[in-house]
Amino acid sequence: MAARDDVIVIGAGFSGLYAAWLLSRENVKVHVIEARRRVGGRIESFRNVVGNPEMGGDSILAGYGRLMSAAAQVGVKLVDDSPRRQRSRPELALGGQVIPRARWAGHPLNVMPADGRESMPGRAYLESVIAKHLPAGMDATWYSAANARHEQSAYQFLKGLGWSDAAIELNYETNIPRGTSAHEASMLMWYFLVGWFRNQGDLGDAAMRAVGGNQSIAEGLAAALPRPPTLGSPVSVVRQMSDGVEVECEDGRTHRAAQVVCSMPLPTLRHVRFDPPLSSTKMRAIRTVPSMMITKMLFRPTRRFWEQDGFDPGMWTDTAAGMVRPLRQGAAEGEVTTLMTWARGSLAQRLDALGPSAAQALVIAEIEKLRPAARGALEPVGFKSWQTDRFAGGTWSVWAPGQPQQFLPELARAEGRLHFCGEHTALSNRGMEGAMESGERAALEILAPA
Amino acid sequence: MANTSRSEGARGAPGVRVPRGTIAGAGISRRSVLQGALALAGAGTLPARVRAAGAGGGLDVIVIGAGLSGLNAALLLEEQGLRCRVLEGRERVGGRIESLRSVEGAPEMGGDSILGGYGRMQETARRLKVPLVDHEGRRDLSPEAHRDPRTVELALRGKVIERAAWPTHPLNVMPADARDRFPGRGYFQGVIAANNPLRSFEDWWRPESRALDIPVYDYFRKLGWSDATIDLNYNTNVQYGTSAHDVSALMWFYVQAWFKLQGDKQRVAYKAVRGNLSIPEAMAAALKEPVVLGAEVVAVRATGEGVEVHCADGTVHRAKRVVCSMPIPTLRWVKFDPLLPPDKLRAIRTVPVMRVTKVVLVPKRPFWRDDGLSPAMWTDSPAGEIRALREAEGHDDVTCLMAWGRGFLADRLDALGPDGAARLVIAEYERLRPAARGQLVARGYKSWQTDRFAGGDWVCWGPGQVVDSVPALKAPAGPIHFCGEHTALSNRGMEGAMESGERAALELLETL
Repeated sequence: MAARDDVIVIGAGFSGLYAAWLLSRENVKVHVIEARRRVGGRIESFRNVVGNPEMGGDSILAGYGRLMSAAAQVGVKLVDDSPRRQRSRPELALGGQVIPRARWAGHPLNVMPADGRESMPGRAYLESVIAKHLPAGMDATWYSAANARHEQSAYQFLKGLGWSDAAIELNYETNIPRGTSAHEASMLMWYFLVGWFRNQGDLGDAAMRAVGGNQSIAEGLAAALPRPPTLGSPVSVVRQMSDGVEVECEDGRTHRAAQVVCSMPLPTLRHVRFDPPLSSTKMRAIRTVPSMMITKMLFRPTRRFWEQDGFDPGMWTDTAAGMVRPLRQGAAEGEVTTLMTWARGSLAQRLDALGPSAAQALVIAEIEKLRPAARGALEPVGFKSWQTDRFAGGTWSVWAPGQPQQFLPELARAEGRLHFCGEHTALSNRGMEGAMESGERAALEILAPA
Repeated sequence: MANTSRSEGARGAPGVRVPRGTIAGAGISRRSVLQGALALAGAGTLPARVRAAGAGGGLDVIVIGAGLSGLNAALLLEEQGLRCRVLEGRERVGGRIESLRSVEGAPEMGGDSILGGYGRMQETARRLKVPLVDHEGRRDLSPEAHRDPRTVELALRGKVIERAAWPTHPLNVMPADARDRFPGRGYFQGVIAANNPLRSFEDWWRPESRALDIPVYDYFRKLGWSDATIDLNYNTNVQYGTSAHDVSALMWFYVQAWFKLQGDKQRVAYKAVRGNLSIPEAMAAALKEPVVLGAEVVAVRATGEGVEVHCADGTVHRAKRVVCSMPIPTLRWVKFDPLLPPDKLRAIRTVPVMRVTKVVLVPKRPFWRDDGLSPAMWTDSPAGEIRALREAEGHDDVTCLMAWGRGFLADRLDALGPDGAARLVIAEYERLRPAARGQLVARGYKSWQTDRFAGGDWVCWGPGQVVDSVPALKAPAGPIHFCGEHTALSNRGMEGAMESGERAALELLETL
């Protein structure tokens, strides 16, 4: 084979960049190929909006050691956002009205389980319940076959606790934290997640962001590479040969290397041809493991309408507005710079089908219906749907019941000269730190073959 | 009444026009016809009560959705003297029937062929004087067409493969006894036909069938197929689902048997002259109260007296009963109060629907005469499956090409948007066929999954879903009845929609 690189890394998100950066430091000749015209993958800081809000990965938690260390080494400063976040205590809005917290416990719409009537519905409560039922052995090998006996759907788990369908609907399927319904979410995944989040909390309650937005970390890593990533080059074929790997891009260019690190997200892998084909199990995982659907929107408040109605600017609703979070990312600590709405699961699909403008109009209308004081006070300034982004196809992987043990080790497993990383291959972490962990593992596979 | 014969049952309900196909289709679905006959016989004793119900000022029934199923239900209920109002989210009727009338031949972006066993469809068209024309023989992708090298080209890995070279071609991963076969549906449906364990496809969804409700992937593996064979035949231009893993073999056993019966009855592929949309348009025009368009339903509340249907614009409609024909994905966005029963909710949330994106390309001139190949191609490229449509009146020339992106390919095209998708499809087509360079103009685009009033196309049961979700989806919930293609028991596609509307209407009449 003609002159070539040692390693081609496909994808310039955190996992791919970190792998490339670690390999470069060991003098491995690396070429990063990225489909987008920017680096960062599922990290995207909207720089045209005040505070550079995060449309993708947002909080760097206390246990994100790799990410914090990498940020420090490429000279990106982090700030702890948690004090500003904790200023908000979102309102609960159900059945077309804001329900004051004091009236929730006795409210007719309260369908919380008996021991949770005082609790706000949603993820925090759900996680507190799961935390009480964590089986032993949900540590680093949570996905092992030995834990298969703990596997069931979130729906089965909650029904087993005596929850009503209405309680599941309210706490799981409204602003759904994982998947599109409680039926399709693996409890092994939940046990792991809850334990993992608890570890993050044990290490401190920081929620950091990079100055300039988290995308700065990706940019810093890319800038630290000896060879800048090739942007705008989607990969279409990965051909493994006896003496190396050929990566063919949609633009017709072909790149060669001794090995490849593929960090592409699961939905985008469905459109790449691997020759020879990947293992049967890996192909099955690529085709069947779902990715979380999230659509986020940003609105600039033209006035502080929450001072008029006395409610918190943040809301947790059962409407098309989903969750509304006030972001305080300006110079003054208390100032709300933007409101970010989160639509998840099938709500995200509904908004996507409307298209950005109509979706924004609908969300504004829903907020105004709940809070007349907000009328005319919201200006749409950002829209991001991850599932309609062709280089993402969704956000993080959501394991369906039975899938972690069946697919996770296989997705992380190298095949010949191909190594795999990306959040969906992380074993002991999730989110951005999961991406970093997986990039590290892939780099080590190359640097120190077993 | 239980021993009323079919014809007596039909006669016993003078007010209800029994679509001829119901009876003609007795061989297809004896049980459903019998059920229908019973219900109709019952309906014969109903009119007095029904008229009493319709006598007051209020509405008897709100039908949500003006697709085939909803309109069929509304027509049948009106014939029984009930006062109905049809609410439709779109600004047009027809639902997943959409005829692109701006292109010659009005290519169908949704439901396309009215097959031999589509008795209800054929009868409705006849009754409402919508002329049908038979396109069978002009279709280039019928299973038989695959045997004929002049009709469809096979293009894999960037090259058109000569049919004569296919049996020994290095990319040929067909099973040993089928190396000369064209890959895809025509072939694997034949394999399913020869190995179909369903003895009768009535009651295909009954618990006795549970053991067959496995991934179609497992079924093909049991036949000895390799992953490569499954990839080529099933996952390329996937017909149901996104891959062989997420589709029930039981569904296929049923679908195959049902399709076979269509052809056995009568080899036709009818289409309405001005496009199939003419049929729901004529149905809507036959209603006493015009369909309310632009009425997007957001909530359905059952109260002590009846049902309240809330629309996005704030209007509220009240009636004694509701017939809800909304497709599965859109049901996920409606609030039902009280909550629907758990098994129904589960089905609504988890049963997938097909993802289909179609791109219509009009050729400037017949470039295929230059390269001597058929304009129709079955490819493993982002152009997907390209059909050549010959839908003009008076001549048999190609009116347009229609590219079908299915499953993950549909996702990919959707992510590019209409213009980007059309550009990609044209570029891929031109790459395979240099003679086509500059000759194709994109004139239509339809993605069903990004259509907010559809959310996808037909229902595709996943492994293990059939036995529980089929009955759950059709079951009424208090005063709310359900219809739509996803609730059909004995038919699929447009005829399934019609069947389900009829079933929902009869169910409502029986229990009013």
